[in-house]
Amino acid sequence: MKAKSDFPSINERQPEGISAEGKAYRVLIVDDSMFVAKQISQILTSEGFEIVDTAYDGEEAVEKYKELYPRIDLVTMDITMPKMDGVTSLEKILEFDNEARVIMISALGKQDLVKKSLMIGAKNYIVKPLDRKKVLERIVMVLKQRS
Amino acid sequence: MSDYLDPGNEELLKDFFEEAQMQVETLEQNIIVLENDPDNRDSIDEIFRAAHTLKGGAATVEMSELAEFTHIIEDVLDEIRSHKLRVNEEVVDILLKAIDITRAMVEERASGGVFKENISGLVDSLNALLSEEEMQASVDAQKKSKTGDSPVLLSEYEMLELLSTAEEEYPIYRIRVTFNEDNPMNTVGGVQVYALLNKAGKVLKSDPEIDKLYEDNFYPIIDYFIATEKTEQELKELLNITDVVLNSEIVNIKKAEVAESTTETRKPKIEETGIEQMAVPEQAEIAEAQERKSIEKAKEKSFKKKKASAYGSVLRVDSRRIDDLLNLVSEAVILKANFNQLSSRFAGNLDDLQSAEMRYREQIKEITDSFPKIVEQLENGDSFKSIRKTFQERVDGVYEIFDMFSGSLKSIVAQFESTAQSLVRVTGELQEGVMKIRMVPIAQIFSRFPRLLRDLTRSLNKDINLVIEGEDTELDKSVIEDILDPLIHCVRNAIDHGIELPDEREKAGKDPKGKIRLAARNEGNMIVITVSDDGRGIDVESIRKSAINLGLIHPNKALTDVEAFNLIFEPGFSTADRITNISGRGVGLDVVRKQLEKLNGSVSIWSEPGKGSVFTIKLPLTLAIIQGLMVRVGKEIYAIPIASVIESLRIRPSEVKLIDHYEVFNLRDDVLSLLRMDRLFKIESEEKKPFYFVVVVGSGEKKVGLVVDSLIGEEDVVIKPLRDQYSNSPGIAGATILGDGTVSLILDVSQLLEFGMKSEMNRRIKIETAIQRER
Repeated sequence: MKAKSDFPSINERQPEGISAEGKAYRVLIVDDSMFVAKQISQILTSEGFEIVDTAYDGEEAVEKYKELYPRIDLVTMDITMPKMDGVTSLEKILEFDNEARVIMISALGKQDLVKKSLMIGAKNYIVKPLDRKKVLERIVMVLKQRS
Repeated sequence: MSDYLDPGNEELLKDFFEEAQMQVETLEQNIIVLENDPDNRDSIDEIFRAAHTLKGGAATVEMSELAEFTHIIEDVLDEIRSHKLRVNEEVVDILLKAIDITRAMVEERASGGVFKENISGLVDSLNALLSEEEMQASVDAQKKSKTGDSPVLLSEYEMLELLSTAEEEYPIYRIRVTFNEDNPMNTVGGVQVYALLNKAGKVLKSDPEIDKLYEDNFYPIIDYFIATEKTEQELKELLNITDVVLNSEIVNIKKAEVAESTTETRKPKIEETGIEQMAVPEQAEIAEAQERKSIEKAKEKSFKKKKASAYGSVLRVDSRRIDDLLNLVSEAVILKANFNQLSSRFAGNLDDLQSAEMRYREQIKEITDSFPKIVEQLENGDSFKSIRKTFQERVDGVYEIFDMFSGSLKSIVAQFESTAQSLVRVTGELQEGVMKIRMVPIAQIFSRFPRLLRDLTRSLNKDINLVIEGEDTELDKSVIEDILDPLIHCVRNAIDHGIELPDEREKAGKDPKGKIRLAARNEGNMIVITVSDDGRGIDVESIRKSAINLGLIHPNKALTDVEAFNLIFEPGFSTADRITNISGRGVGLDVVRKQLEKLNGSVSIWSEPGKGSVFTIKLPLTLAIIQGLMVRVGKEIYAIPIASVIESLRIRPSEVKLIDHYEVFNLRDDVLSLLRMDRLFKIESEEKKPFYFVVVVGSGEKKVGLVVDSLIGEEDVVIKPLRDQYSNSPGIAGATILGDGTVSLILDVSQLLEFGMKSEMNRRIKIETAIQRER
């Protein structure tokens, strides 16, 4: 079920997920928790973003990024994941594409890793539990920075 | 709740519950791994991750009691991870208890309630695990993070040094950033800004230093010194990070402004410390209040009855399996097109046939009409030979009419056959594919046994090693849910009765550590699960004695070993001298058998005294489709599950003997009673036959011969459940639809055995009373 705010009136404002050129921003969601991934996807699709794929661990994320590149605008990256954690995955993605826009998703208590990711080159971070407003705000900010 | 998580967002909640259950299981499994191997990094990481994800999820769906509790667990796990806490039995006990509570909380939430039992005792013992030192350290860290170190001032000399290191071409700014303390990760901001600025230019220095920023402390104000080509306005925009940065002051400090800036930094410092000091007691108060609240919450003791889970079961399927199915479906669609084409070709063919038939009639008519002419010709004296020739030509023409038709029919039939063949293949693969979707690895239930073993061995003072094999073996989800209980029973039995106490084992010259092996493998379209132990085995003699005492067998009956083993599946059977709370009450193994039979499975046992015993459970891979032996009784066709058919044979009526008014017959050296299906189901069938067809069916030791009119053969039958008023029909497990569309009933053999016995008994009682009356 969607709240009213999920159907923004076009007359009032452009949905956040649509770029100035009128194209939907393409997002890759990386999260080992299906629940969180779905939640992010619900928030983003409601604003017109296009979720191009979902990866459930760091390794898969790198693979999918390479597959999707350059038709990808943003990655949301969980920090604690099996196989390869988010920080390592972030490093690998940046190795491949220096311009990659990655936003870290972290639960409280992982400050050290968030800091590390930011220094490596993550564009921003979002703290779980996720809040719709904050998620959108931070993602939009990152997308605006380059354009 | 957050705006997108309204109560109607059930889909998301369902995901949460499913995932939460998985996390709880991961926790449990890995903690047990850890007990045996305290340095297993993978397990520690896995545990930590699971607890962490669970906590995050619970907080998102605002299940505060769950989030709070898992937070404490996470703290304890963190201790383990950082090697501050050694994993020992006590720790594992407490953790397992905590996980049980977590599971109860999740279940309570899933059924729409809130967990309200008092858990303060457990919370205390969890907290006790956090070493005092660590507690102190964390308190210190908290204090520190709240107060923070106010920015240290740069001396004039330092400033000059800084300027000299900077590249000349860019202006240097001092950016004073004020951070928002309410941000949940307030300690990250410093680094975030540092990273941002470093991208925009070159950060020459930060105050506090970057190393300090990495520590988990919150600094309300941080000064950055940056050389950049960006304008002040651009920098300001860059630093406009909501929630993180409250304010940023940018000052160009190149050269002359040095002195001014140093004095400027002094003032805010005092102000800041003042604010900070005020903030501390306030925070503490809030924390205290929260604590009180949570304790009250825990003490609120009201037991709520459990409702059935409000959320249906969810199946996770590998997407490749779905893709395979899609491929098959597209093939099926192509086949459908083929059939359409075939049907139009058949229609055309039918037209051909009709027109051919017309022409045929015409020509026959012409031939018949030509008879007077032939007679005339004969009378005119035409030679017989020439008449015969013209006649022959005409008849040949009639034959040719059908040539074209039969040629096209042949090609259509050939095409039809090959299309039908493909349909068989595609439906077969489709069936397999759909079944595969329902397949889940048996690891799902095997994984629960280490915990069970641990609890039982400790209460029984036994030392047992559990070996699990073949946990990747897959079987139907509906089956997997139903075999857990029987399997637990077998394993319990092995632990309690099978494995001896360590000193007993040593006396017998065995390894004092017992071994139980739990293995699964595929065998045809059955799955075989074995539970084997290297314990004392089953004493045939004591079974015999108990069975005689219980009146299950006659004292004179000769008993083979296998028969003796199977006796332990009889209701009420127990050889245990004492009753433990684990097993030995004699209820159980018969239930195990009953439950497995419900799943069309079977259980058997083999044992060697002193060496151990093996329980073998055989189950069909799925319940939806079974192999059935089709038999005919009167005009009805019945399917008997092949799993319960032992053999089928043909006997003469004269071989049927009567013992005590029971119809029986000899099968090798056994005497089997006969059940007449026609009598049982009250179907009229022709009585006089030279032979009876007998299908010997049975489960366990009970065997009976079913008399049917004829055997049709083996077939895969799809079980359709009986609904409503028919669901209570004894002896019928379901129905299926045969190839020609008729409905056939599937027999439930174990019920049939009971039902047959009962109706036979009733008949006998009636006969006996009738005889008595006559006297």
